[in-house]
Amino acid sequence: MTGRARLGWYCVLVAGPLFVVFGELGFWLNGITPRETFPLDLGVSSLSIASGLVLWRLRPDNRTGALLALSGVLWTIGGIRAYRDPWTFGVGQCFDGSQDLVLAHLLIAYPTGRLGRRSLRVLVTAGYGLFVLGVVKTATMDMPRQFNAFAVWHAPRVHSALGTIGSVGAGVYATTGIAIVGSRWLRAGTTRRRVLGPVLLAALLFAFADAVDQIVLAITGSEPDVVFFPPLVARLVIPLAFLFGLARARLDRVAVGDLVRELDASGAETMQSALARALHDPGLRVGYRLGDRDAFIDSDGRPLALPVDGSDHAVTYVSRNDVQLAAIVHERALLEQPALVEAVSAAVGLALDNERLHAQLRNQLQELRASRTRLVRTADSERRRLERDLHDGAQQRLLALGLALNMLRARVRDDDAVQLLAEAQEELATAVRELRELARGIHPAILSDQGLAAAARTLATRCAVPVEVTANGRRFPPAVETAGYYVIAEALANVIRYSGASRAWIEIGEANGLALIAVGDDGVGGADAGVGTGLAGLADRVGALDGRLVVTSAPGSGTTVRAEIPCA
Amino acid sequence: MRTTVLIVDDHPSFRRLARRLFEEAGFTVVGEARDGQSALDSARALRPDLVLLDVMLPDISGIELAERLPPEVSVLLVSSRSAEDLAIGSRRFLRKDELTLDRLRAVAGGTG
Repeated sequence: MTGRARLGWYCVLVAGPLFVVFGELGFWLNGITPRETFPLDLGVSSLSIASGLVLWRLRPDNRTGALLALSGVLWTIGGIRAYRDPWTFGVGQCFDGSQDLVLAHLLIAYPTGRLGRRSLRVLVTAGYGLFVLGVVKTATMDMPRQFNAFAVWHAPRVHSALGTIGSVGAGVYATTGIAIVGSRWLRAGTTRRRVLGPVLLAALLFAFADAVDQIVLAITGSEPDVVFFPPLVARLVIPLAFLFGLARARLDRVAVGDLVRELDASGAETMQSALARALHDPGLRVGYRLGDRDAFIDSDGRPLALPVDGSDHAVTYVSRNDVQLAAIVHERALLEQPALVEAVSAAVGLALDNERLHAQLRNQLQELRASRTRLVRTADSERRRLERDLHDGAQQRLLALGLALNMLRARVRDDDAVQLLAEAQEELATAVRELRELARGIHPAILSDQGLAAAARTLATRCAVPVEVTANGRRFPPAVETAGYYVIAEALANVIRYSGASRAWIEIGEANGLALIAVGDDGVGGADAGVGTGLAGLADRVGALDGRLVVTSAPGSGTTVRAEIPCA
Repeated sequence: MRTTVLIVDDHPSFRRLARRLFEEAGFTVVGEARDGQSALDSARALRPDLVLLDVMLPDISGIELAERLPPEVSVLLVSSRSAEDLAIGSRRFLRKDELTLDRLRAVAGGTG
């Protein structure tokens, strides 16, 4: 602060209280209102001015502080009418009620202090037109000029009419201001509601107190002492509400230190939830910069889209040592508290850097998993293609050759030739059979054609021990069916090789978005999933689809191989 | 009267040899089709006694197509794969490498 500005503030601090006491003392001295209301009158002036000045100092970019201080000054000026002097009476009478016009302006412009839209500027200008009405009303009062220096036109009927118009206009204007703040509150997110809430509540409280005041006045026809108190108490709350609403961000900045301590103390606390709590924005998201790329990922390593211009959310980028670390996506209203967001960002810079590295690692893991899944799918697809090629190519040619040999054999009469043809046909039949087995091993056609349940039944019929199959025939995605098929085939092969079982069973079902494939037997158990059973490779295949393979094989209790694969 | 046959298979070399085999076995081959739709059209138009039907056609499964053929038409399913691989069930089925003159003559007797 410059020396001149500091001097200005000192003057305000000394002259302000004297001015306020002078303004309000008249009522006390001249018994115009009950003496008990003097502290309240004094409180309204001093709190409005003091709160306004504090806000002005805290948020110089926001006009709310200046307007609030002005409202206190106007309240004080309105008070000087209580002195028995024609000029102070006239001036005070002109300004009587003008504080409410500024308060309505404050409500309409809250929380930025700026009106923005043209319609609001017109509304507030019209509101200040009521002040002009008050001046004319003072000039038309039916009283001698030795009491009212402004009484230049004695027109009691005009005065009365202007009084009615002024009261109704002020009521409508104030109600409009409250409605505007109320509608903003309804549309706002959590952050902005924290700012709007106290002011809206105070305004409603004042409106209620004033309404009660007016009703009592209408019923009794006079002003009993008690009716002065509720509106004055409510007026006291208004400046505090503005101060609390806008200064909250400063209090929140004090809490930033707690945020850092909490992050250090609790490893389980995620950066995102800690920031959401510190900035009072439950929908806040943190995106970590992905290497040198212009892309962001969340803490789980998944891509995070940043909000587009014009949306309800905005982005604050966090950098450290000139390196952009993260993007905090928050409610747009938080942009009105840049100091808070900056304080939080600076405080958590190091932790954000660590979290970013973790997020990048998770992203790489995800890419690795996706790559493994792609590899398995590509391999399956290649197997299907290869099987189809064998079927359509070599197998068909051999079959055609077999048909030709068959027809040739019917025509040949020479015994040696018939014998040779028979041998050739036998060789050909062996080749066709071996090719069929090879194709089946590469990819079982029944799996693609009729699904896992039918393929499992085929495997069951080829098994050397009786196998009971329980399946409803539901089709799963091809990759899931292929993995399930190989799990069943390998498990049944192990039943024959190692288990000594007298029977086995296959179950295929679905629960909670998982394909459940289980193969069990009543054999000796004791199988080790990791050693020589071929199940380790299957676990990899199932894992590539984000599934898991569980082998239960207690000695003497048989073996159960169970695969759970996401299929939704 | 000779048994009439419609041969349905997507491999031209198999259709050609199957036609000769059937003719040698004493059948009259009234037509050929390479896919399910043309097989249906030909079966409705030609009304053969027997349809030799490949299980794996480009547009439809031979098993499914058999259900849609006119009920008076006999169907003999064939494939290079085994009945077990295809879960054929109780339908009349021959592997393609089992297709011989002797078997066809037996089929002709059963169909005629």
